[in-house]
Amino acid sequence: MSLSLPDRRKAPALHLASEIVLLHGSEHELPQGAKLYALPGGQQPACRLDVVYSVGQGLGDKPVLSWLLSQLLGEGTLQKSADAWHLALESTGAYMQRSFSGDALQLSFYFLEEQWSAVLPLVREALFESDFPQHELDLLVHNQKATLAQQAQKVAWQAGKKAKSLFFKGHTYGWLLTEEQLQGVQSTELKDWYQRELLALRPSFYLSGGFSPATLRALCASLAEWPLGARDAIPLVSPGAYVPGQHHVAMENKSQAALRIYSPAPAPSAPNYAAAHAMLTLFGGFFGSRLMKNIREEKGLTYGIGTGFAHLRLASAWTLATEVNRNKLEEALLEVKKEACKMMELGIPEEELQLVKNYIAGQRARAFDGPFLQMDQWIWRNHMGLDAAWIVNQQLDLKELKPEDVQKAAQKYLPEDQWLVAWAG
Amino acid sequence: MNTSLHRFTLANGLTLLVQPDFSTPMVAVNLLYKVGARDEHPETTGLAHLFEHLMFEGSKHIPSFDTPLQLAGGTNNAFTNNDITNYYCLLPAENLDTALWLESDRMLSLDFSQEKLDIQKKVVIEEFNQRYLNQPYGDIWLESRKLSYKVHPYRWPTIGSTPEHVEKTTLEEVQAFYFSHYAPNNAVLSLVGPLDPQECLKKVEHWFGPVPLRNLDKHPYPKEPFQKEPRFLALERDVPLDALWMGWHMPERNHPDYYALDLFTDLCSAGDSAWFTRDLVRKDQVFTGGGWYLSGSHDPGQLLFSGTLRPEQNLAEAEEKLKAWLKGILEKPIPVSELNKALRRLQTREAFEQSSVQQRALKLAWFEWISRAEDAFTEIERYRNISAEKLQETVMRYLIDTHCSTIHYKAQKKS
Repeated sequence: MSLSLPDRRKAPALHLASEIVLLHGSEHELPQGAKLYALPGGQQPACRLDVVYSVGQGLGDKPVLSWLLSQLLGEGTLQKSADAWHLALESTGAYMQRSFSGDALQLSFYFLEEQWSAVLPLVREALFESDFPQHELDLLVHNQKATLAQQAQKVAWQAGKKAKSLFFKGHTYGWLLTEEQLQGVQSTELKDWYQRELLALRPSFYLSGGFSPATLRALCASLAEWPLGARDAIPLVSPGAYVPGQHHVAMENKSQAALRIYSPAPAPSAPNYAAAHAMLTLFGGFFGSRLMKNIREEKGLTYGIGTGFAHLRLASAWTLATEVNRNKLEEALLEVKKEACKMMELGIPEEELQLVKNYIAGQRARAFDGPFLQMDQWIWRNHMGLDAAWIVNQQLDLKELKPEDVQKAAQKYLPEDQWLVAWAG
Repeated sequence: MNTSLHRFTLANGLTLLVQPDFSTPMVAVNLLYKVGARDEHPETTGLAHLFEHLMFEGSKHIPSFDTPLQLAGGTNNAFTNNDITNYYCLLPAENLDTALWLESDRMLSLDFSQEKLDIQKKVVIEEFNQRYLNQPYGDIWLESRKLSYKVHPYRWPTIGSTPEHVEKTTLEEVQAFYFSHYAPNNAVLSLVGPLDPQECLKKVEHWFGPVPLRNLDKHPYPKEPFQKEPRFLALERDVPLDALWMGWHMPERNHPDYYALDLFTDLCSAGDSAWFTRDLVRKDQVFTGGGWYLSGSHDPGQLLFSGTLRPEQNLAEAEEKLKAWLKGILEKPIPVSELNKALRRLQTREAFEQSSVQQRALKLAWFEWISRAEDAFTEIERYRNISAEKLQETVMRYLIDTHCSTIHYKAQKKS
């Protein structure tokens, strides 16, 4: 077979990333007022049920109790010991993940559709009949202390802890679990907290994956019988002002230092969000970013450096994270500052903006590939109070972006005097 | 499960696998090179991984690998282990040509330079620090290989034996490594997405067809001698808790016993009802946590355990308790209900894995390398064919003291 040699110097024609195709989801209001969101899709009989309480660290004034509660749901119920509950769940092939953040407490159950009727009663038991035995609490506390002791030796963890706690100082968003907080918590206190706070709340349910309409109908019918609380969320107060500045956590014998920066960012609903997103992506949000090019690819100072948004319902920040040789920290920080200045003062060439636009369009297409990723987006949008039109609008805004929009976003969000910098090492 | 598969072999030896999947707009492009850390010289370790970094530094005709892919809305990355170096891209299917253009050009020739090499050496040394030297317990993975292997190249880790090996790598070594391992006849390309197999073949012929096949530096790997007595290493480090590491030699990935041993590790530590978690973390509270897993390597590998101890435990006693526990569970018949639990979990995991085109593309390429891609579709059957008796008998054959290497990783006492 004769081959015509390809012209390797010429890139193949590019097609803009496909428009995002949203799977056809449905919303179901249960008699108790709670919502079930359903998103069928995929070729596998794999299903995920997410139970989301729209409250996380902000559940009352004792975040440690909320955290303990999130970890102990199902770890002993009125009917079963923790061992028996786990065995029952895992005998179906299902598994569970817990997550706990500033705004949400979430339990996610992964299972095959054929097992849903065996899994569901166990979900119900964990949510409404958890018993918080003292020995399970003691075990969790003990093992968590061990984890914290290990984390405390990591420069990345120390720098992140310092930056986050100071940025959200005095607010539950800045809360971090410590050994001292775990000291002396009693099962009775937790049970009281559970009865008083969590059971009063109305969770949301999200079902995604390869399920049939019959399964969805049966799930709706089951959930309608559950004793759901009536309260949607506890109102939170926005975090107060933070004080920009630099902070150091001294750690001996570390070959590397970790650097973290927190600084204010627009909420996803803000009119300039698309510009800020493009700006932050260009600054440090992907492999071709200016920070990666400068600090890793030109100077070899780090294995990786990245920026990203930390969006909470009542606050948004952009963050930066990197680890560098302990003798190179100042040099790396200086380069970060220089790159920020360049973006603010010199603007963004059209060509570079096009690269970022295409990258973000592809990133969105990947983030919406399949029912589970789409459901993650749906949960996040519900937390942030954004509807499906937000996705479309973001796409349109991205297409329309001009270099001056991105420069304006840089001028608004990148000034160094807004940064809260923490390093450890 | 999607079991459609189309296989082609180009004249230059490149294997192409295509799995059409029209449920996604994305295509996964996975290029597996049959070269890893086991192909390195003992005095120049870390080269395969360092080389992976250099593959992103521009090729003969294309100065930047990432930029065109990002313009095409794609993302990419790579990993190196002791056996393979694997590159993958995920991008909108309309832009498949971009990924093929980029991958074929860096297979054709790289744009080597001393400057690029020097920078990537620095980057890799920072990675060495970040992952292994500046992390609590990080060096256990470096020490355990030296202890477990005496002859086979698995005795050094992918990152390299020491940062000095990375530091002293020369441009000549890098170039020689490339031309003796990076070749179409040493690679498997797999594509999963909304694709027409014949169209894919045409595109792959167009981009990869002109890449010449190369003489490969293939040599037999030294066989690890049979371990006849237990090995032991005691380390003391600035960590908060003592840790115990144990590794037993086991057969290669393709051996039929692999599946029984894999099921065993799942039964021990996959999930909260797993035996180790249930008995030694939750009930007897010897460990604060730990895991059982297989190295899954191409050549004979290891069944591994690692766990951190509760502060009131000491390493010698914890090891004895672990061994007594192992003896106890292996003496009794394995309940069929437990076996079924592990199988159902595997089935669930498999169903979720199948939802990702990227994971499928990797799995197909991996199986094509170790046996044939179709074996990826029947893996679950191989697990199902293991009876409780077979599982017990197999594990007992491998989990014996003389095959075992042990590390006591002791927390330094603070003055």
